[in-house]
Amino acid sequence: MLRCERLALIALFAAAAADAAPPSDADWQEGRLPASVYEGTPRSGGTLVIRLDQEPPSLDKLTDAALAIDWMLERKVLESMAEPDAGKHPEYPLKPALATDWTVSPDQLTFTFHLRRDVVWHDGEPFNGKDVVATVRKILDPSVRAMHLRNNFADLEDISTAPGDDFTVVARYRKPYFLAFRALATLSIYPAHLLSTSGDMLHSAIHRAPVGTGPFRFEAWKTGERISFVRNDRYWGRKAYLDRIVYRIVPDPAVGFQMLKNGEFDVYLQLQPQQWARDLEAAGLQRALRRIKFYSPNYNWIGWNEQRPWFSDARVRQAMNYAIDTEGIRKSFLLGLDRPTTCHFYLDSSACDHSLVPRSYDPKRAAQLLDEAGWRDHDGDGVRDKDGVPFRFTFLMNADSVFLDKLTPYLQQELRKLGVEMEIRKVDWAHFVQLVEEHQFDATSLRWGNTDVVQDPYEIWHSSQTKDGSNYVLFQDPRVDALIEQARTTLDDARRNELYRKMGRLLYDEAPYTFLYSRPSLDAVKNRVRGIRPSVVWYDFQDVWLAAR
Amino acid sequence: MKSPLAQRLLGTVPTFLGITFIAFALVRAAPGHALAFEGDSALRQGSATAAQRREYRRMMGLDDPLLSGYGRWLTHVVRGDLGDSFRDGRPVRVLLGEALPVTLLLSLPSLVLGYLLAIPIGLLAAARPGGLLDRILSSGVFVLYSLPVQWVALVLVVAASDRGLPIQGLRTEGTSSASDLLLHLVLPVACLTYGSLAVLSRHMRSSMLEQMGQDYVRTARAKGLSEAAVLLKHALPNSLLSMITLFGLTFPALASGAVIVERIFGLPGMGKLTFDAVLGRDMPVLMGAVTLAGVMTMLGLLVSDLLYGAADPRISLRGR
Repeated sequence: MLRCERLALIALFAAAAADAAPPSDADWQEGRLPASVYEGTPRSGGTLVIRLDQEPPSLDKLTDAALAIDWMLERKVLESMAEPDAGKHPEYPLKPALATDWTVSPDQLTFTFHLRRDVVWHDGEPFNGKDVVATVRKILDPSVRAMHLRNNFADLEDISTAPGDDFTVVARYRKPYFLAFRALATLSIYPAHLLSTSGDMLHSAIHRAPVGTGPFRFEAWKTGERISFVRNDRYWGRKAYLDRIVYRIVPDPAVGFQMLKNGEFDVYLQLQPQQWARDLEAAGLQRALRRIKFYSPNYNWIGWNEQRPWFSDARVRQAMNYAIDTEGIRKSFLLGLDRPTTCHFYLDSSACDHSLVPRSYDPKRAAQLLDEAGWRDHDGDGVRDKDGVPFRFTFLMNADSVFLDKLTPYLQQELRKLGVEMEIRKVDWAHFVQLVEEHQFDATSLRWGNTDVVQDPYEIWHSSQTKDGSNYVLFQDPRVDALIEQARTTLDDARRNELYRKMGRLLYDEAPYTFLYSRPSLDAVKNRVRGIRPSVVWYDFQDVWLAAR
Repeated sequence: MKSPLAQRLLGTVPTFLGITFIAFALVRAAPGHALAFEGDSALRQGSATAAQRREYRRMMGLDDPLLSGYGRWLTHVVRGDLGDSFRDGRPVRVLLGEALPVTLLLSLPSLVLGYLLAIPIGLLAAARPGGLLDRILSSGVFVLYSLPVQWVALVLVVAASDRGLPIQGLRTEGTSSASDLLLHLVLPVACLTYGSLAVLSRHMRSSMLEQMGQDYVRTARAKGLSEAAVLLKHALPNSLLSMITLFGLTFPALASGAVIVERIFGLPGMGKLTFDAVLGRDMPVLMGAVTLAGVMTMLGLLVSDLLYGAADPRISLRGR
């Protein structure tokens, strides 16, 4: 017995000695990368193999809004004039990239960017301001499926290079809009010489084989198998250390995990919560891998359709809040990994009022609020009713959601105790989105995701967006409208965030959504991967290097 | 004089039109938006407004009347153009051209293997119906038949990866040897084959038993032939005729792919292509897959008729 322990101890020390900086338990628990990841002298060479769970439809940001495309291309293959500074959490201010500097006119309507003169495209052509202009024009071209980007340029009056200076870009807007600058500055720039013949993009080579200016250039895409990139040795900045990045497409989580155990991946994206929290340790991988947990701007919510008789009263919506034990659900169904939020924005942003804590589970308070709102069991059938309408509604959900599969039966049970009947309707994703968009639901749940911390809540909360926007729950409040409109023309971040905090308080009281959680990205990297840094704007691989084995 | 073969081919035209029109109408009638699936109920802010979706529908021609939509699709098909995928903009022809070889690489060996195993199993089982061997073989294939493929595949994955067998994709990166490809095929082909054994071998067994009751078998036995000769020389060839019919019916399955096996083993075949097209309402791809399946079905029937004629001189396409 003692001997065994001693042997185990020796083995432990031997292992610790072999790895110069063993991960501390706290880092492992938190999913933090230890400081040692950023130590040592970087060495060049090697291939980084990354597991990807879903193949993107294309590698074209102009036609597709899939997040995986942004992950693979932004700041790696395609670059923008400025980029979010990943080192400055949680505000992520812009820092120069293809532009060295810029000016904004006092009326906030004219932006002038001065571009680098030493940049070449991956195919060897020189880069200049005409590329920026051509990219914006492409987005504005109605024959291009760029609706998701076109919004940002609705108020653009004109964009051109300065007369006689191809390295200065001037953009003029009709009215001030806080996002206009950031949208233009962080727009991934495409090469004008290839855009001119790219038509609607769908049929051009750069739809699947992008040509950019970034530290990595596209190598190959083997459908259903892998997408690879190689180092750009003509990069204008410090060249990347890695020779190559290979994304292997492995959709099945169980097979992916097996391959992770076999050591086939350097970076494993999207572990399932159970795998991240338990299986890694059970498989004895603590010494071979490091766990990473970080939160991108996203949150899921339950939305209550305000045009339905049951949910038109804020007190009822608040009661629904109190009826759901969000903390209990978080701990049991989500293994405590998701972070609770009450805010529309990125949860660490100063646009959030952090004093607004989630309503705690309180069925008595819920019952009281329902009584106050006039929903009582008048006819004694066990179900609350008001004006002859029984409180019996349908919860619409996407049939693929693992989380909602657990949440909805629980919710059903909780509400039944309160005298509220809830039915569950499951439909497939494509149908689900259509129904939600057409407001054909009583209650539903979705997740909003984004790749930038700065965002405009207009599309989701402004009353004008109940028709063509994403105000699915038909929330209409003139106070919120006014704040959103005012924020749109407020270019000062601190003042705008103050307006958003006010909006947040109104949303908290009106409770059109039951705000739930922000979901973490649960990843793992091999010990030998150094210099890797997760952030809201995902990973950059320019600083990543592989330690000698 | 028209050849009977040409007549048969001509007869497939209305069938083809019927299949594709019904498919077109069904796909168009299905509720839901044509869009890519981001996974677990997530929508990207700024990319999901109703206005954008309407614009998209207009661009994809989804608002055209049904008949004119079908007419346009058909005129393109006649010219050999199956349209472009909504999802990634590539021609459907190219997508099918990528996925079909992967699927055939799996389904052909699995089909051959299935027949190669099922015929002897059926034969042995029929030799002594109700005997011990019959009961062992029959329950064996039924046990296999009832094992869910997801489970079997994962068990195989875990077992195989400990032994160094590849568990994902078709090739190890950088190698193009045939042996590497074969190793990659082992698990998926095994998964695709084991379930088919029950159907094929039972079919073989009952077909053999049917032949064994025939007069010519009694005659063969009466003239003192060994049991092996009776089975192999007389009953077997005749019972294979019905296996040919079965072959005609399983032929279209060759090209339809296997969603689960393809997903688990990361093989981008027809199953994955079709399934993703359904989820994303990618109409041109879906129609391409349906068209291919329709053509394969008609081809399968034709092939089995031809095989029939070759195997049994009494039956001929040319008539008497």
